[in-house]
Amino acid sequence: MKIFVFIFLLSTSSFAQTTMGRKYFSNFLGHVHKSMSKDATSLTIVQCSHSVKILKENNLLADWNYVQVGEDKGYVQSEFLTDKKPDCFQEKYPKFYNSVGLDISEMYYWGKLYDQYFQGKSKIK
Amino acid sequence: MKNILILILLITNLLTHTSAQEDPEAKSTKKIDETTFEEKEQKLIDYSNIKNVLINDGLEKQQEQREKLVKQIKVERKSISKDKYFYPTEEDFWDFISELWLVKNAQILSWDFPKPEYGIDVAFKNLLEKLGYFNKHFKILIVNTPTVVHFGLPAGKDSYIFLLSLPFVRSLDLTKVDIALVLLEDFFRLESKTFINNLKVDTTILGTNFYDTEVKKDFIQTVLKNYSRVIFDEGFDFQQQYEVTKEMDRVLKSDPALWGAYFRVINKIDKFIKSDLLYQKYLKIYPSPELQIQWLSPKKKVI
Repeated sequence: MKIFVFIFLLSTSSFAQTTMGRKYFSNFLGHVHKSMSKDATSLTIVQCSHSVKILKENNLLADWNYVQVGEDKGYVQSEFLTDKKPDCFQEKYPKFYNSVGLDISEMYYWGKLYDQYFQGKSKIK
Repeated sequence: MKNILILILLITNLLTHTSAQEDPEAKSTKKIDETTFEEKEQKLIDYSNIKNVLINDGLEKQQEQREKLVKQIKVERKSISKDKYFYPTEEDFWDFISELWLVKNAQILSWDFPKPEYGIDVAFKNLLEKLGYFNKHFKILIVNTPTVVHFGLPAGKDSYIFLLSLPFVRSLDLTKVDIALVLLEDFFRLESKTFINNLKVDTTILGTNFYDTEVKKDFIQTVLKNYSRVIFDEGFDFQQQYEVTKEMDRVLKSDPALWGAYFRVINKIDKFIKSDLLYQKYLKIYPSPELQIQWLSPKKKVI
């Protein structure tokens, strides 16, 4: 009996999805990275306002989140995620955006752009 | 019995987990029929055939009201659909088109390469705050090419994109303060909308609706072409250069250390571009550091 209870508890922990909640991707386009580096391999491309699952990860660096998008699990910079659904160009001007006809390589580069920028904002007086 | 119970527990456990893992977005992909009940009813029933029956039953008024409602729904639906057909406003357009240009020219500009934190963003932020330019959002993109030395691209209200050549910075051995001053020049060019004016494109369609017409695809191509023309070939004229230099002079005069640093940077650039063939095009884009030195130098008094 004890063995069965142990197996039952084990199965509970192994199947449990340690989801910490959901957040929205806030940049125009971006990447889910294989590791916590801007230059790490891209697992998938995410668009603005895409909802991502935040997963628990013990060895996480301060400015990174461990996320799941579809089947892919990887890392996204924390500053690119928001709790509130962002205003996105794609949703504001859907027909215009579709008319631009971005191909997959352009979408890839657009996502990389946000990894390569050094961003800043002078304080509000 | 116990075994059966445990088995049931295990199965239910598995089932609850698989259902919990199911992505809620998958559900939203199911197509939703947007037609309202009233519209469906209107489609199904031909009221003209039963007009007499309706009059006899005193339901004619009700039918009129229903038709009015369906008409109203159709108008609302058209308006919602029309909202999707807007060109971006001026506010939203420049950030989009500047980034589209960067994406389309990724290979030429060679900006997708691993780089360390240079601290340029912090230096530039500090300079803006020191000079009283608050609430300005900027994005700096380091390019690994001498093709574009430094350039400011528009990105909407109080937002700016700056390009900076790594080979240029290394060749001149520029400090963070030097770089921040070079970017400040580009910042003033953007503030005065010099770049947008030099594009010479008609932007009157921005913010308008194209529901009843075809989207002007050549508009984007024209803007992108003009971006390349100004950034790679034409740049700014003498008058525009004079104005930006005088603006730098006016703003930096209150801080002699910064003014001195700016004067030294212009001198460095002047000497460098005269000696390095790779940067000969610089004079076409920013004419000319030699004149800038003259404009900045105090005038000699003739007694």
